[in-house]
Amino acid sequence: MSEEARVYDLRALRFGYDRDLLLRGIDLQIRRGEFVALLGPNGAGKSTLLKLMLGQLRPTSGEVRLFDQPVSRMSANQRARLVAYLPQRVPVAFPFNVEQVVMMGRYPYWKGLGLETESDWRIVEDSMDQMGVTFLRERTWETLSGGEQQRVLLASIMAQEPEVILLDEPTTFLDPHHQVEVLRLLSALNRQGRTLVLSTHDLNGAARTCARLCLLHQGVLFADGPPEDILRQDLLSSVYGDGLRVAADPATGRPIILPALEGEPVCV
Amino acid sequence: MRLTWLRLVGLISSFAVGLVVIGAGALLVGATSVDWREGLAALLGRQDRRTSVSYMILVEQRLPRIFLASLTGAALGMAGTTLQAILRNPLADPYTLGIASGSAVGAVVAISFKLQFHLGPFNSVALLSLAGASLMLGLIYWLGRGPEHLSTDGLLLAGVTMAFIAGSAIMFIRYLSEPHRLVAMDRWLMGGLAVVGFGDVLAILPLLLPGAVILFALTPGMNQIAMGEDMAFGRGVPIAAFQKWGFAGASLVTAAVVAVAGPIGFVGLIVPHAIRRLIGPDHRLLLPCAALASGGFLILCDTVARTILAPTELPVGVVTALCGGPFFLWLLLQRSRRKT
Repeated sequence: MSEEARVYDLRALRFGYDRDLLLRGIDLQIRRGEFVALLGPNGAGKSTLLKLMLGQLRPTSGEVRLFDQPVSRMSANQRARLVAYLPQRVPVAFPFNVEQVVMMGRYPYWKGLGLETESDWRIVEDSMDQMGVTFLRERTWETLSGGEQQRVLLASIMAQEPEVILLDEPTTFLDPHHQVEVLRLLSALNRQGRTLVLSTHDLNGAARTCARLCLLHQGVLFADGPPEDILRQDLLSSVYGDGLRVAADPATGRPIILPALEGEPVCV
Repeated sequence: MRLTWLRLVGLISSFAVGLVVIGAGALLVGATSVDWREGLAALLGRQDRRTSVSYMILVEQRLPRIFLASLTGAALGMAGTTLQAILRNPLADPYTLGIASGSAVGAVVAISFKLQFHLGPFNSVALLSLAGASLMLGLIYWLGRGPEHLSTDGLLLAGVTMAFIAGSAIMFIRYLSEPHRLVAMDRWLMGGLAVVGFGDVLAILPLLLPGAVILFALTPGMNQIAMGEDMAFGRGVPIAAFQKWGFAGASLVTAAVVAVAGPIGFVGLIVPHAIRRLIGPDHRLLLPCAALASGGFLILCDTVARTILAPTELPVGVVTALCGGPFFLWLLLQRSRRKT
């Protein structure tokens, strides 16, 4: 891998306190334009890994390098122009409207008093268009549905114009239709050349949208590869237990994951 | 709504004009009727100032008081707006966070133990209340620290707890005090803007101005914090430093005015809330407008306080509290109505 193409370089990353290490040595390289899903059971450290990549948490040992610079030594603005982050929950405290929320993505580019410019507005309009939220522009946050809120947040992330987008379970609180919609929008962002890393419990959704799955288990990168190498019965059973069954999608022949009730055979 | 220079300057100047109108109106209202023409003539040097009663009342009594009211109101409005933004809670203000209780303990100690000293323009009561407020803020800040940055719930809980502890300390000191000092104590605890001359007004500026500059610089980040600390961090707001500066700025402006005017509650809660409803939650606009509106609101309250029981004066803190209680009741009723 050439230095040029490397967006993220995580080296021997450990995080946690004393013997209670949550992450015990993660090595992970992510290239420009990749779309990576972090999988793993609850408490595997997916969210923690994203926060370490963002620089919000400091590793106990090891290093996170972003475009070949340690993320801990970047200024907040410099980092925010490269990486955007969508947390699992975004509790909006005051009645901001959609336009204002999307405009907040321009923050790392403001100077002085922080008044928006015409070019800021062009970028905001463009982001709202792409995420299909222009018609919501005057609506306040709390009047939006969960799917609309997520699209507005994605538009604000676009307005931030980052190279890399980190997303913590972006589909978890959505109904199936909106889950698919968000995954499609993310794919579109990826096709525009942005590097995406998301954490998720939606194995099927991740397998269909991401070219690379990283399975976190017991503090290490348990498996890393394309979906067909990861969605294997033996791998999933050792990470998630015996509640999952791998089958073949009748339409495409690709692996799909089904819940297996007690007593059902798990073998394909 | 787009924030353009036009909108920013237009709205701020409208609020400023409103403040000046309220101030001018309040100047002419009072227990004693005055002739403003005579006062103006004396001010312009066309008449002897020493013989003009109107001049004395207008320029040497009411005017500094109106200035103090507007600065105090503005400070409380800014501190309230900032703490609400940082704690992401519309009920946060210097009083719910226990800052006023800390300054009250300081003032009560000074009054009870007859401490008499001066430092610059401040007397012992002002100085000890300043010290009490700073100490309390330090404690609350220390108690509210989380592993990454300040924890919102931790801060609020710390503030409420410290307010209780300060309350019991005040009761204890009161019990030990000589009865005739209790009057002075109560008078201070209710908050008042009775000043003579511009000395007190000028005395608060060295703390108020730097505090206000800090808070204005933080307004774009306050909008980001409203989306949660995680989102704001991703946008490039250094959360821990931001909270530290916001807390420091809010403390400076609060301590400045509490030292002179005593604890005046509810202003920092009611006015930012009302202005947020009026012009929206964008802090770049909300902070200046809430500051100006709070100043105007406190001038109004003080005018009521000095006229309603004339020739006696009511402490202004009583008036703001009488406005604040029903306001919260109305908020509560609105909330429950929205839910059904």
